[in-house]
Parts: sequence; C-alpha cells; structure tokens
Amino acid sequence: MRHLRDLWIVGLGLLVSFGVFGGELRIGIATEPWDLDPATYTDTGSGYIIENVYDPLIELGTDNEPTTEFAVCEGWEFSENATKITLYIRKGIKFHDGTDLTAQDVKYNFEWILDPENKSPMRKVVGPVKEIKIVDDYTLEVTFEKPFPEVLQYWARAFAGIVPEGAHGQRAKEKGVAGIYATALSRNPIGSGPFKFVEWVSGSHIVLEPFEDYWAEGVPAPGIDRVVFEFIGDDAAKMAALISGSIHIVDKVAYRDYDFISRMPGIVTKRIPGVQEQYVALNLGSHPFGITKEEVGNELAIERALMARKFMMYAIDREEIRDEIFFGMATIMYGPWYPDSDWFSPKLRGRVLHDPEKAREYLERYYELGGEKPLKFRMIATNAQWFVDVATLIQAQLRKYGVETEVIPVDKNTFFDTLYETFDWEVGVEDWGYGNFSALYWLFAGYYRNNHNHNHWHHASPDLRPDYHPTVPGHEEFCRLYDLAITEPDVQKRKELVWKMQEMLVENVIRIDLMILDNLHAWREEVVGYGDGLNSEGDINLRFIKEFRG
Amino acid sequence: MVVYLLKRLILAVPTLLIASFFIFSLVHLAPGDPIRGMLGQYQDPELIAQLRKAMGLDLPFHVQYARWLGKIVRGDLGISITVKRGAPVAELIAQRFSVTLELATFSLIIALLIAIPTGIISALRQNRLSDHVSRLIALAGVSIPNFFLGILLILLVGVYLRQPWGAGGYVPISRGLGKNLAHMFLPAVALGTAYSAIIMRMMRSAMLDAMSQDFVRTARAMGIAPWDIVRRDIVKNALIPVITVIGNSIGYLLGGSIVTETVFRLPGVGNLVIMGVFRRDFPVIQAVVLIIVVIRIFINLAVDLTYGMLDPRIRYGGTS
Repeated sequence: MRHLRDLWIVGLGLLVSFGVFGGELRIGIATEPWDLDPATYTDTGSGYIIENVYDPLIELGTDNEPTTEFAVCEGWEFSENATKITLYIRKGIKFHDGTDLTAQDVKYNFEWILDPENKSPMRKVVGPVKEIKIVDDYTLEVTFEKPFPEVLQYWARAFAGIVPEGAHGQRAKEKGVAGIYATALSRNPIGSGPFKFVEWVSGSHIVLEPFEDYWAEGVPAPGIDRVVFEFIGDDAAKMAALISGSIHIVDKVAYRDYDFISRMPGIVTKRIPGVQEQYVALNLGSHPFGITKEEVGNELAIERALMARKFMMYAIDREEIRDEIFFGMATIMYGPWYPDSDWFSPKLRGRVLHDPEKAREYLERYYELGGEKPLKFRMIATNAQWFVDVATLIQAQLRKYGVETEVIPVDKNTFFDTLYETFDWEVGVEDWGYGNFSALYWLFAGYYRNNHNHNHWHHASPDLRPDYHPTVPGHEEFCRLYDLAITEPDVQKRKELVWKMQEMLVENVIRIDLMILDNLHAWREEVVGYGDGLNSEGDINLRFIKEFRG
Repeated sequence: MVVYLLKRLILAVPTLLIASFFIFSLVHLAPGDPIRGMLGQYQDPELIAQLRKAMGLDLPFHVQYARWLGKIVRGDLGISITVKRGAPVAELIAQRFSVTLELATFSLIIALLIAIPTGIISALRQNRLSDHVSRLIALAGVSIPNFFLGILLILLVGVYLRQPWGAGGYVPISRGLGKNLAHMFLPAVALGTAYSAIIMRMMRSAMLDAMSQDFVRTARAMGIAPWDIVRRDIVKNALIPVITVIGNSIGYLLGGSIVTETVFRLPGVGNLVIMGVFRRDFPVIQAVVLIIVVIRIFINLAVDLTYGMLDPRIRYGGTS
C-alpha cells in the first residue's frame, strides 16, 4: 500500500513537473475579467489586471489617502477656491508600445471619458470639468464649473489607468451589437504599468510579462519572469492550489477558510477592513416600508411606513450576523460610512443598534397606525456567497417579534432587475462595493439624484422611471446639502455637511447598513513584500513585491 | 443506408428548429438583465436604455428570435456581451471546444479502460468475490457525483500530497503533452471514473445475457476454446447495448464537463456556458446549447449506424 502511494506521488510529481514554470508568479482570482479597458470596466476581476497593466492618474495609498506613489501624477496644486487643479505629470514614463506618456495623453483620457458618445461609466465620476488645458508636455490644468475639492478621491477611481492617445479606438460597430461596449483596449490592453499584456485564454488565464522600461526602480521585482492570473471560481480548489504551491497569491479567502489557511506553513495571511458594505434595502415605494402612489402626502401612511422601518433597524442583531456568518471578520456600521472615520457623524457613532424593546415599541406603533398584523414581507437575496444566509438569520431574528417573512433566493442579475425595475419586492439583502474611498462619494452613489439606490427616496431624480413617486420627505434637502458639500473647500465644514446627511439617512431609515466586511488575503511566503501594498479596496498590486523566490 | 441517412438528416431540421425556439425562449424568459450585470455599480438609466436599444433587447420577443435565427443560419453566432466583451461567440466556442473534446476523449478512454475489463471479469466470475467488489465499486462510481469526486481529488493532491497540479493555466497539447496532461489528468479521472461505472454495469449485464444465448451453448458443445467464445461471440454481442450507452455517455460527458471544467478550471465549453449563464450572456448561452443539441443529434445518428457494423442482422431503410 505504501509503495502504491509512493508510486502515485512520484508519478504525479513527474506529471506536474511539466506544468510548473520557474519565475512564474501565479495568482488565483475568482472571476474572469470582462473588459480590460480602464475607462469602461466595471468588475473586480478586470480591476486586478488593470491595476498592473496601467498606471493610475492618482493612486490611493494603504491609508486610503491620495498619493503619487506609482501614479502618473507626481504632484498637483489647487487654486484657492478649488475651481482649478494643476497636474504635474511624471517624466520618463513609457507606454508598452514604446511611446512617451505626456500631458497630451492625459488630456485624451479626460476627453474620451467625458465624451457622451463613448458611454463610459466613469463619466459621472470625473466631476464638473469645464476645461482641460495643456500647459506644457508634462503639465495640465483642469478647470471646474464649480469648486471640486474632493477631486483626487474621485479621479483615483475614474482614471484607474492612463492609456496612450487614440488607444481606445473607435467603438467597433462592425463587431455587432455588443461592439458598442467594447473598445480596442477591452481585449488588448496597452498601458504604462509594470506588466505588459501577453495573452488571454478565455476561461483559463491571462498572462502578463514584466515591462523592462517601467519607470519605478526595483519594479517589477527580481525573480518574476511571467505573471499568470488564473480564473478559479471554486473556493476549495483555489485554497488547495495555494496550499500546494500551484498558485502564489489568491484574490480573497473565504471567511470560513481564513483560520485554517492562516495555520498552513508557508502561507502568509492578512486581514484588513474592506469596502464591501452589507446592507438591507427597503422598498420605500410600497407597503409595508414605504407608501403607494395613492398615499403620496398622506402623513399617516408616511409615519406608519417609518415605524416599520424603525422596527427593522432595531430588531436586526448585526453582531449575531457578523459572528455567525462572517466569523467576526467585519466592522459593524452605525450609518452609511466607516464608524471610526472622521467623516462619520459623531452623533451616530456608538448608537444602540439592536434594541428589542425599542423594536417592539415601533412595531406596536406600526400596528396602531393601521399596519397589517402580523407584519409580513418577502426578502430577496442573491443566491451566491452568503446573502441567503444573512437573510435567513434576519428571518429568525424577526420571528421573535411575530413577524412573518419569506426568503427568496435569486441570481444577482434578477436581484438588481427586481429592485430597479419593479415594485414587486419589500426587502433586499445584498452588498455594494464602492471603488471610491470618499464618504461624500458614497452619499452621491447611494442617495443623490441618480438611480443607484433602487428605492424611492431619491424621487426627485430626473433619470428615474416615470412611475416612481415621492415617498419619504427630505430628499430635496439632502441633495441641497450634498451640492453644498461637494463645492465646500473647507474640510471641517464639508465634514459637518456629510454628518448631517448621514444623520438624515439614519433618522429616516432609508436603508439599513449592516457591516463592512474585512478583506482576507493570503499568499505564499515566496512572494516577499506583497502584503505592503494591500489596501481596503482589495487590489492585487504587484508593484509592492520586493522579491519573488518562486 | 444512404436513404436512411438522408431521412435522419432531414428529420434533424425540425428538431433543431424546435430546440432553437426553446433555447431562445428559456434564455430570454428567465429573469435577469445582462445590461445591469454588465454595468455593475454604474447603473446609469440613460446608458442602460442606449445599450438595450443597441443590442436589440428592446424589440419584441418574436423579432429578436427571428433576427437571431437568421444570423445562426448564416453562421453568425453573435458577439459576447459579458463573458469576453466584444469577442465573437464562434471564436470563443472554437477556442474552447477542443478542450472539452479532449476532456471527453480522455475521460472516455479512462472509463473504457476501467469498464470493459471489469465488466467482462465481473460477468465471467458472476457472484464471486471479484464480481461483488466490481459491482460495489460500480455502485459507488454511479452514486458519487463527478464534481464531488473532483473536489476529493483536489483535496488529496493539492492539500494532502501538496502537489502543485496544473499550475500556470491550461496549456493545449500543441504546446506540450506533459504540460497539457498536468491539467487534464485529474479532471479526466474524475469524469471518467463516474462513467466507467455506468459502462461497466451495462457490460456485465450484456455479457451475462449473451452468455445465456443458444449460440454460446452451441459453441461450447462444438468444443471451441472458452476464451475464443468469450472474445468472438460473447463480447462482440454484448458490445451492442454497451455502444448505445457509450454513445449516450459522450453526450453526458459533454454535459458533465460543465461542472468538472468549473471545478478544475479548464477553459472548455462547459465552463463557457456556466459563465454565460451567470453573466446572462444571451448569445453565448444560445449558441453553446444549440451546438450541444447538434452534437447530440449527430452522436445518436452515429450510434445507430454503428449497430449495423456490429450486427449484420440490422439493416437500414428497408425490410429485413
């Protein structure tokens, strides 16, 4: 038996030895990228490649503050009232096609994204740009229609990669209907990052190789001859590949696996606060958490719906969810931002979140105001990852109050389709990742005049469906505060406006913010220095690797 | 034979037409919008409307179907919306089909190498220890889903034996058999083992059936060597139902590859269809499923034609 086992190992060893390359850094990522154009991509998988093939205009550091480290911009200067910013472009950067990166290229990136014809999802993130002027080959002046002091945070996301002038190409009409959303870079990226694109084997992997003309000293790290991003959808297979040395870095570790992986010899792990917010969405456009079109202006109906929402806010035990489902690896939220940030309202920080007494009081009040007894509703949840588990746990928590709920698992597309396009839901359990580390951007993306928050709070938005109706009063005031904040150059005053908006959202229970999950990273110790570059966004930034001993 | 072949091919046309309608209907009637999935957190209603219009998703269902069918007839399988943005679906399928075919071939070889000898031994030594053991293994093989067996193999090789199997992404045979096998070996074992159990059970029962036939008794009475009887009479006759199962198994192997390819990260058609479903890439799902239907039709035809080669009593297109 022992001989058989030895034979098996030797045989397998011989077999796999054909498949293992020296100097090849292999990274396991959960999903295959969709689009490698930094101006059109919207998914995490593409972000991993884009991070390493392109250089960003402005980078966010590990402290989530704007930095020039590894960025195209080596400095910036604001005008006094923040209506103009001068960007100083780093000299000596070369694109992978051999051309020099100059202010003209950066201007092209701005203009391409801002052109509505190009349908870039980043267009609204660029801000109120009025004029882009080239001062010299390495200096650019951008003027805004109104003060835009948060510009650096916004641009860190909008310009994730600077591309050579003309590189996007034309939207390829000849490619057919989907061509409208693919550019010349979607499948063949050309950037100025430390790694060049080599090959994309659909369904398997993407290969990059070091760019020898990269401007930063010591990057890419010695020892890396080739980088392979392998698409490994199954968590168990990905962990087995990491343990065996088949891959050296994983994009993320499942919560249930983290302790196990941390104990494995030869593997380094790191846990840092992330940007994925878990939330409970409430449909404010129908009962029981909102009002119908016929009830617009009906004070009683508005009050009754608010009572139902407040009941939910106090009945849900976030700590139990964090401990049971995420093994304690999350930060509980007291409102729509990180609780320990200066940008989070001091009034909200530390407030009581789970209070069964208060929950009962609000539920009673809801019944007194004519709410249907017992309170009944459906919770839709994405049938992937942990969302159904979270919904089921909330269901059990609410059962203690005699509330009857039904958990309906659906796929992610159906989930968003239902929330955005129909009134046929009451509660949705999902998460949302914000690529922009700005409290103000979160308020914009989730609650301002746009369609991001799939509820009827922002009924004033011109781009919402015509059958949306006003529900919770106060959205106009919220938008007014946002407009003030986004142009306010004084940081303290801006913070205070942000706090007020956060307080409005919590008082009206526009949605229930549960927690922000930690990012769990793991890599093999052969990849020296990789952990230094990890930030809240969960990027895979290979620039920080000091040495690869693979 | 030619008339029979033509008849079968003509009959395949309405079958394909009906299948195409069902495929298109199921994909489009299922909830979920590819545009929303494509835009992620940037759900701009103006952009959504523009993209829907550009992709023809705002047109009535029958118009969309007619357009799609028209393109399919002209050999245009469409463009991927979300799997690999802007890539022709035909190109994606062509890249991946060879992987699935290779997996199916290796799996079938493994299945046959296990099933045929085991089935023969099991039948020849009916109700003895080797028969019981073979049947028990076959029962286990049928009962364990191939993806689960795959995960167990990954656990064994990757975690317990610490072997970096299949590192560096899939490598086609053209770039080296060793590197290719490093990826293909475990999935082929996982998929092949399950099918070997099915084939082995069929081989055993067909052998037992053939062994009880008059011609076997006659051959024995004529004093023909036992092994010659097994080889010439029993196995050859037992192979007819086994070939039907093998034919069907090829279809199952293609289906089974969907999960196996995902677990073992092989870039085959199965993996493509899974991605297409998750990302609501209508052109990809429709094209792949339609191609699988076409393959099934031709495999069935090939199996039917093989009967005639193995059994001279079977004739096509006329009276016997």
